[in-house]
Order: sequence, then C-alpha cells, then structure tokens
Amino acid sequence: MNDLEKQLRHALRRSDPPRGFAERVIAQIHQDSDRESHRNVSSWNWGLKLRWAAIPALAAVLVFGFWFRAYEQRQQEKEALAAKQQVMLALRITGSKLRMAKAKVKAVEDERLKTENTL
Amino acid sequence: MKRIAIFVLLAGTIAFAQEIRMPVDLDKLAAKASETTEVTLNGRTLQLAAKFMNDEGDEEARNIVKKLKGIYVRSFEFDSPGQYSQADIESLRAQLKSPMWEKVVNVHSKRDGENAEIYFKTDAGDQIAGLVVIAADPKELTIVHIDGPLDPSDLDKIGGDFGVPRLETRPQAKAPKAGPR
Repeated sequence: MNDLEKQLRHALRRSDPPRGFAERVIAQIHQDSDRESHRNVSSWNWGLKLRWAAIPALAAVLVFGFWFRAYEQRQQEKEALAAKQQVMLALRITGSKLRMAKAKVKAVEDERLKTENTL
Repeated sequence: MKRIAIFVLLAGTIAFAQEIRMPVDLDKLAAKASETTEVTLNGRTLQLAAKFMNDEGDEEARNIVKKLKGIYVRSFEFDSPGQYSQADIESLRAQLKSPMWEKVVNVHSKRDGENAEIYFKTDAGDQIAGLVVIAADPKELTIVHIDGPLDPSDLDKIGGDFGVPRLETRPQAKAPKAGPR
C-alpha cells in the first residue's frame, strides 16, 4: 500500500455526523419554509394594498376630470360672454356709423331736391 | 406642372389680396387718442359668442353674427383736430381698390368735416360678402370691417337702414349711387 492509497483511505473513511446535525438540518428546513410562506403573505398584502390605493387614485382622477371639464366650460362661458359684449359693441359702433352716413346721404339728397324744386 | 404651380401661386396671391388688413399705422394713433376702441373677433370667437346670444333681443344679432368670419373695429377719439392724417388710412383704401370691393357711399362734408365711406365686397353670386366703413371727423376716426355674408336686411338691423335700392348688391340692376362721389 503506497502513500496515495493511505491518504485516500483516510480521506474517505466512514465517520459519524457531528452531534445535533440532523436537528440543525430540520430546523433550517422549517425556517426556509416559514420565510417562503411569509414572503407569499407579504406579496399578497402588497397586491391588496395597491388595489385599495387604486380606488382613491381613480376617484381623484375622476374628480379632477370633472373639475377640469367644469373649469374649461366656465372659461369658455367667460370667453363667450366677453366676445358677446365685443360683438354688441362692434355692432353698435357699426350701426352708429351707418346711421351717420345715411343721415349725410339724406341731407345731400334733400339739398339736391330743394335746389331742383327752387329751379 | 409649371403652369399649375403658377396658377396656384396666382390664386393664392389673389386670395391673399382679398383679405383686408388693418393698417399698422393705426396702432400708432392709439397713443395720440384720448379714447380707443379696438375689437378683433375672428370666426371662431364669433361662433362662440353666437352660441351664448340667448338673451331677449339677441336673436337678430345672433342670426347676423353666426354667418360672419370676422368683425374688426378700430375707433379713435382725439381731444383736438388734426391728430391723424389721410395717409394713416390710405393703405386701407388701397386694399379696397380691388375689383371685389365697391365703394357704395362716399360722403365728404366741408361744413362739419365729417366724412363717411362705405364699401361692400361682393362674391360670385353678387351677394354682400363683406363691409368696410371708414368714418372720419376732425376729432374721430372709426374703421369697421365686417367679413362675411350680409343681407341688406342685416344692415337694416345693424342700424344702417340705407334702403335696399342703394345697396347695389346686384351690379346688373345698378341704380344711381347714393350720395355724391
């Protein structure tokens, strides 16, 4: 038997596990199992939380949408009322100038008729 | 292809030439004026205004306004005469020399210095498609441009009441023009 064989025999010799090895392995298995189930519960909790959080977020989006629509409508109404006032002002000015021109034309015609009648 | 391009260019130029632009010089008058009224309403704004013209008595104005493409008013009141010159409105008059426009009223009063010019734009169907009023007296200058179709009755409603024969909307049946030229 040479040295190599001796070393191999020594290295591969049968030996008992240290005391408490089996208990430690079982304990580790339990611990891993607990951690896994805890992780599952935790992720389920997060999903639930997100779902609950989505409800007020959706409600907020809806409320903002309605508010923005109403705001836009109010702005449009304001703009329209201002435009209406401008339209009425423009028509009043136009009307007054047209009336003035008409009065001038009438005065000239009256003058002409008067002159013709005199002749 | 070249001919088409030239035609498109010419058509565009003619269309552009038909648009009336308020003279830039008018804005300078605002600095001299004691009172300035400026109204600029494009088609979109007029349509919006027309939607909200629901009060009693608005109906006539709404029916006029909803057809229009634009209303532009520049009115300046001055404390003393001589604050504006004819040159200030000459560029506007130059635009109104296009064949589409016809001067239907031109009144110059030496007595009180009040002048009024009224121009109508007619479309292919001889309907009124626009109105320009230039009213000037020594202390006031007003320019009104209404862009869009107007019936003679619309002018009556606005306050003109020129009487239909004087409107000259149909060149084939022209009557003598109103007032001295």
